[in-house]
Amino acid sequence: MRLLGFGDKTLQETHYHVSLFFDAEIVDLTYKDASIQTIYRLLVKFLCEAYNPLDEYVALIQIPTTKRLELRHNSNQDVDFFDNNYFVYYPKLNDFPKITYTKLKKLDKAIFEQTMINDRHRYFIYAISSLLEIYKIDYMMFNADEPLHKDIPVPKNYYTPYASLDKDTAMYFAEKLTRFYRDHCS
Amino acid sequence: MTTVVSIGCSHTHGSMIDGENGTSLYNKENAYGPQLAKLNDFNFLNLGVPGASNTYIFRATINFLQKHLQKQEDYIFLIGWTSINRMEMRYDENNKFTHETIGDLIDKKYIPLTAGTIKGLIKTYQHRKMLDLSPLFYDTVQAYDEWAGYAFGLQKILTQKNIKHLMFNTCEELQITENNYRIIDNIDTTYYLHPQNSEEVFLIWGMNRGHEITECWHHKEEAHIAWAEYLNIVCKNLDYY
Repeated sequence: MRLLGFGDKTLQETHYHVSLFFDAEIVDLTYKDASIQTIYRLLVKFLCEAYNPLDEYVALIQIPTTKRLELRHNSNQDVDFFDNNYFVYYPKLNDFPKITYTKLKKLDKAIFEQTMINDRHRYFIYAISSLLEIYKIDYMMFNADEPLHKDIPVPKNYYTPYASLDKDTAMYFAEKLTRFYRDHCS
Repeated sequence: MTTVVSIGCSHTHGSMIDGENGTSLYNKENAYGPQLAKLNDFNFLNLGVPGASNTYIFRATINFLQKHLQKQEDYIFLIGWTSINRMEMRYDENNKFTHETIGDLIDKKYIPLTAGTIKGLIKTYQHRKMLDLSPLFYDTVQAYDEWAGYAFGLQKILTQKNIKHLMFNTCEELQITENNYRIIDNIDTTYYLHPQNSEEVFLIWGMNRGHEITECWHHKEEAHIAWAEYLNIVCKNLDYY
């Protein structure tokens, strides 16, 4: 079995513990401070470039906060599978690929208008879960850092309790996720 | 009963068909989607929005699937992908501002933004400022990557739901990037007509057949009728009806 891990780079510890429960090999699809667009982008890339119908997969998807927007700036970074020219803009971001991006700070209220970003999560979650179902990939989704807004509908494979994960809590959370998967997703 | 649902930008909306307006009831009801419906005595919904982006097209299609799909109804989705360097923002829920467009199932709080958007049409300072900073949002590679990803995803979802559909380009062709070429390889060109051929884009296709365009590069009604007749043949060849 192969465990497809989507979300922040910080999720790698959780993915590792979940992979032990499943005795699965990790396919690390985490990327920087992933936004919901990042997850959709990398899922589509994986399905078109690396998916093997003979393999058995389970996908673990961390749904990030709504206040992240994926942008791209050509900084001559590697264009590998992930394309490192992509970066995620969010209100507390300090490390910009170009100084001009600091000007966006003044527009945060418009960039992260609540109904629009809830909407974005809604349609991307729908697209991600639909594609996984079409490809017959069992999956579970979960929150990290903050609870998902109440207006965003979620599939039955969505583990609602959230946690701010660090090294100490990752294993405990991974156990909870695995139990949830066995009860609701497989 | 069959309903033709057309989703896209101004070319799908039918801008300038009436000879003077970007958006009007006449335009909305005489663009290529409604024309295809009239050829076959079908119902139609025109979700085309002047200035709309490919992100809008992706959002509006999924929104329709989630909120408006009637189980007993037969649908033909016409998805007219638009050009890059467009985005959408939304007026705050708590203020009175809307972006006035005539169309079906349109959330008028959303604002389509393009490189050519006239600032006077935008009602808040923050959104006007966004036009100045728009190059920061418009990375060409990202735009083509997203477009390919949206088309791939919607094609899979519509096919899985057994919803008849056709995709095509209205303004420009989908270009290859280092990221999207394998995604494009996975798009079924039976249902996405000539995604990479600039001659098969609605705008150019019509011009090559002698249809006049307006000063703002939109087709008149005759080109919409001709495009609908072309789509009608494709739909019949696919045994859609």
